[in-house]
Amino acid sequence: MLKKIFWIYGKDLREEFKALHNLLLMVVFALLLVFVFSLSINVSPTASQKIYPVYLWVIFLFTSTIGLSYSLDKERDQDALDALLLATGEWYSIFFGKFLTNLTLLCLVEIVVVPVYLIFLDFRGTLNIQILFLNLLLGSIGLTLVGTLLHAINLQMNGRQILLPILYFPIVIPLLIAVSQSLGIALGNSGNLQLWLSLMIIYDLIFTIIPLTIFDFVMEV
Amino acid sequence: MKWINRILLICLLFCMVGCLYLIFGYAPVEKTMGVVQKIFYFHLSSAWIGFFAFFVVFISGVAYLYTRGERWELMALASAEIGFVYTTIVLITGSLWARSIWNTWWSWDPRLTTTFVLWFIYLAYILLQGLRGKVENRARLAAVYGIIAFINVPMVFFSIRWWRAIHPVVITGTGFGLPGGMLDTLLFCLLTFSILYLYLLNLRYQGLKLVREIDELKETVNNIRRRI
Amino acid sequence: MFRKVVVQNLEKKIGNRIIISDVNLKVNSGDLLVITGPNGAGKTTLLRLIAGLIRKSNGEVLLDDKSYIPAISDLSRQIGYLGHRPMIYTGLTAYENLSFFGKMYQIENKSRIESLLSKVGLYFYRHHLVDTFSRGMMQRLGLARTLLHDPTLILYDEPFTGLDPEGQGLFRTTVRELQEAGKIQILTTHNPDYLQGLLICEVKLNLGQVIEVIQRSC
Repeated sequence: MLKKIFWIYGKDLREEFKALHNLLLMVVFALLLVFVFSLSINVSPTASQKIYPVYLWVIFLFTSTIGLSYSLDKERDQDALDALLLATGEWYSIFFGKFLTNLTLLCLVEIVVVPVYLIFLDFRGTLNIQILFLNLLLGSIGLTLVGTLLHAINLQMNGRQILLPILYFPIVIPLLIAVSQSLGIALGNSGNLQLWLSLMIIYDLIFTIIPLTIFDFVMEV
Repeated sequence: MKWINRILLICLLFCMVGCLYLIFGYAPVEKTMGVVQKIFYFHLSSAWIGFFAFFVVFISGVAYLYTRGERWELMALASAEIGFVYTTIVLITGSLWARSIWNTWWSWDPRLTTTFVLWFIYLAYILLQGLRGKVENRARLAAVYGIIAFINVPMVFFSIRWWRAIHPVVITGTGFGLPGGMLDTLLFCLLTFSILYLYLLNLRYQGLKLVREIDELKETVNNIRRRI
Repeated sequence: MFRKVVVQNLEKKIGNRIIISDVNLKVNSGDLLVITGPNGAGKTTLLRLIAGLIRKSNGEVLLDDKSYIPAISDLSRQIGYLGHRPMIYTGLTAYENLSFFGKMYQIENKSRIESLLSKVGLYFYRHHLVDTFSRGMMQRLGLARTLLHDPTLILYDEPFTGLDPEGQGLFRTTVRELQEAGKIQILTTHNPDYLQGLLICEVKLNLGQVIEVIQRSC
């Protein structure tokens, strides 16, 4: 099963980097959001430290929402998903292959966006790189796990793109609170780091277990 | 099933009258909040229905995935619709209450916020059920979404609670122990609203079933027409 | 490997609509079963049911007396399915497509992929992106993908759409070869005339029911 996941992942990355279209769109979109947000929130530096972590994660949430649509739509384009399904004989490797692809894309966007964001924020405090890294990683894993699962649901419903955020946002609220709080800590705010990290880990674990038990039901046609 | 509803309706009539009497005649008037506090009985009872209905959505979802029975699908949808109405009531009464005692229309209190998230989840669920996609997929995927959302709700509650604990901007906890008269009234209200929920659930379930039956009849007529 | 496919009392309902009702079929190795019927007769649904891509409501699909219940299972890997659309990735080249599916079937074999590509007449385009392909070329690639893992049961859904006369000839030859090799093939079409010169068993379908079964050669 692991091998299959990596083959699907490899195929996706190859397709992705051949065109770069999707990744580029995501990065541009995220940068635009950064620009619009920094322009519109003109607050004092002390208040900005509290607000900015939240907005950064809102940006990632929006970006992942538009980015998600592509990876499974590619499968649907010429009905390749059916062939893939017959070839793998199960769903899990497809789910986790797609998850890895989406995660990679989101992480690449983050690598570009986070430095730009910190510059716009005019951040002068000390940045705790370890916490930042952990925060970005755990947060992206959670977002992508939920996003991939819900996007699959939306896809199976022949739902419109607009439905995805409606399904998606209420479910990621706990994660969003945890990531923005712990990012705040990485930027020097006070808070209970352990609490938020454990909430993120629990969230990620739960949404790893849910697809494992339920994805069969989602994808059966 | 119709006779069950008749019994429920009769019980409901008596309980409702009793409930109103208890609230306005029996329960003592709260000292600081005054008569506004009476909204609390409706507020809390509605919240109870809102959350319990969601539990029913979850249970029906699991049952649907295992049995694929149409009845579970309808049960989940009926329960979600009722739950949606009652979470709306919770939000409105909560807002009214907050206005008079906290002097604000809205506070990001953990319970109220969780209810708000639940409201959005109900909305998403109903929208998902209302899509004109493949009918078979619809029931199954709505069940899956209901399960995911149900597992998520406790996390929503705790995350908001911890978050607010760190930034204590609003009043934490309503902060009054319930005197005996109030507690009795509250418990009776909860009972009444539970009966109301069962009654509505049964009613809505029958209604949805009729819709399905009509669809089925239409389909049969169409099939016969096509054959001719 | 299995030698026959038996469909027993197969039924498919969506909501209250009956799409396929009480279909019974038996296909032996070397047979070519052709499902014909007007639009909306349930041809594609029946094919997808047999492939296990959709869940049946009632009845059985048996591959050599083995029930094919959990629609997707290891048995799926012995099925080749050419859908209405060719089921390939448009963002990859023809060769990459086949090599990916080869990996999934654990038969990464360069010479097999290349011989298949030249068989369907795409050898010169093997490193071109599928995006640039015409409908007919995609269909040819789809055929190559279907046959890649040497499946025992092969299902084609309207395989002639978009194929030029040469491609249709190629398809007929391929089907005959597979017949001789003892594969089980099922095909849907609304026009059996395309199958000139092949020995077929035609199943006429209407409103989800089998109306007539004819053994004949086109």
